[in-house]
Amino acid sequence: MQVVRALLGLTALAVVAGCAVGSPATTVDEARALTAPLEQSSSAVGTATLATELLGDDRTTAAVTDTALLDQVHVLEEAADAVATFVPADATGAGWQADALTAVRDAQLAVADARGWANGAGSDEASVVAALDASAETLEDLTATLDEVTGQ
Amino acid sequence: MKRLLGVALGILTAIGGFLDIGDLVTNAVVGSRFGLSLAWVVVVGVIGICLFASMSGRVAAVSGRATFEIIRERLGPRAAGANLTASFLINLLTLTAEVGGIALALQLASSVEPRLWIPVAAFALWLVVWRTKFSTMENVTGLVGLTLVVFAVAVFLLGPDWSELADQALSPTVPAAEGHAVYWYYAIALFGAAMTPYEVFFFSSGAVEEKWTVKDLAQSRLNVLVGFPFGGVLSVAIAACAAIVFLPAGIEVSSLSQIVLPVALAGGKLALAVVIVGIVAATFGAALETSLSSGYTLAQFMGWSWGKFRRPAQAARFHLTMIVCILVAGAVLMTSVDPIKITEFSVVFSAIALPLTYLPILLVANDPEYMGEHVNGKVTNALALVYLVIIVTASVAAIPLMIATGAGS
Repeated sequence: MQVVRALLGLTALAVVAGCAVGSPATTVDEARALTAPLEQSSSAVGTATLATELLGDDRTTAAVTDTALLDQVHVLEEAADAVATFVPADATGAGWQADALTAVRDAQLAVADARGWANGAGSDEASVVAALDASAETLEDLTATLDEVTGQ
Repeated sequence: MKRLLGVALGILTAIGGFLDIGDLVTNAVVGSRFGLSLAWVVVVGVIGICLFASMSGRVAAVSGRATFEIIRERLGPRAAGANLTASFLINLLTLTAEVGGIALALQLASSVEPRLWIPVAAFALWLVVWRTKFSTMENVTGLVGLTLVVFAVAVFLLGPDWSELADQALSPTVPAAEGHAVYWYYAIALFGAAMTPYEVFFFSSGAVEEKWTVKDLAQSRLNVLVGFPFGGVLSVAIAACAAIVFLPAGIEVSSLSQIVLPVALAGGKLALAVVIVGIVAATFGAALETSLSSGYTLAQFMGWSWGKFRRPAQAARFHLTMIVCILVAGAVLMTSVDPIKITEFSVVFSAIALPLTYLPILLVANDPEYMGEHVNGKVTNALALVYLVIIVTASVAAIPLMIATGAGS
């Protein structure tokens, strides 16, 4: 009985230790962990671009575009949180994290600008779309770099 | 002529009333991630709900009694009580998702925060449940919900590559970016969205409300066998819109505001207005059905007086149950919980609880004591047994897949 208890205790300890912050991860694991929030951000920027262009072409209402952009602000918040709480194992991972955080923050800024424009504030449509495109490109480049590491 | 109009109205309301927030969200999410490679699940789900609804409608029309009265009598109070608890809780979860859906749809029309719309939606829901006749309620929401046909129109206006869509639907494969576990998790979610238990409680209780008899069986069968498949076509159209616009752009659907963008892209502001009206009608109609289902299930189990055909004072506990459920749904949503997340969980839990309602109906539909000469035929029983296996498999696999995939994330 004691042996069983000891084994159960050791298993529980191993599980808890495995969940500890800063647990050793391979470079591939690190790249994979950062790819998910980057893809989430790309999706948010893509939605924001579509909603903005539709409003510019008078194919949607300001209310729908505003709601779509607000929803994407929340998606980006979640992505930024995932990147910011990531614990890198080495300098390479830390570099990727810094780049990812900058890219997601830029995306947040671009979507916030688009929302300002949709509500009659801020700059013109062309510069808003250009900022969203630039953000999408940065996110895509970074994702491609990490995909090379993960072999996807 | 009057009979023909009655048949047409029944079919149209079955089409318009088929979709709810679960169908809207799940189909759009699946379309944006898997294209049409899960369209086969909609077909399986639609055949299943046709079978399930026609059996429960027949049981109600022949016996003159609704689902939970018979479940309690057939299974005994203890087993039926466990069944009631699970069904009632999942129904409440679905009601919460539908009320959240109304608020999100009204946000699209107004840009006003959903939390401000939740009390309005809950009050409107109670008012309609309290004041409106059953047939008026069913016909109005069903007919207005038909405006969701705009999703099918949008598919044509978007001018897709038809061969690619056909390829996705007819030769389904798991996309490289998604794992097999996630694919099957969403297959179960889609199945749960198509075969939601509340539809059956509502359908069988509605048969008693409208005083169906054996003579009405042919019309009921027609409503189900024509109306529900057309509703399924609208489900596939929602997935197709997402597959055409979002999948190539790498956009993953996570909000209701995204679901309407392909329609706006295809048809501009007019189509957008139509789709928002349709979403409000579909979610409001489903919220009415789930509110009523909560009252139906509890009142039928407890033996209380129930039904819209009675004045509220004559069915006080039935109405009180609905009021409490609407208040609970509103209160949960006021905590700022995401209605889309609730919807995603509600469709999966619907699939988990499905055997609890399906099996008793199947047993009763085969019991000559209740059904006399109208027991299931051999073909129906063969199909029903195949579906029993599918339903039990989906129910058993749902939770492990939910854990393994992080709820499909």
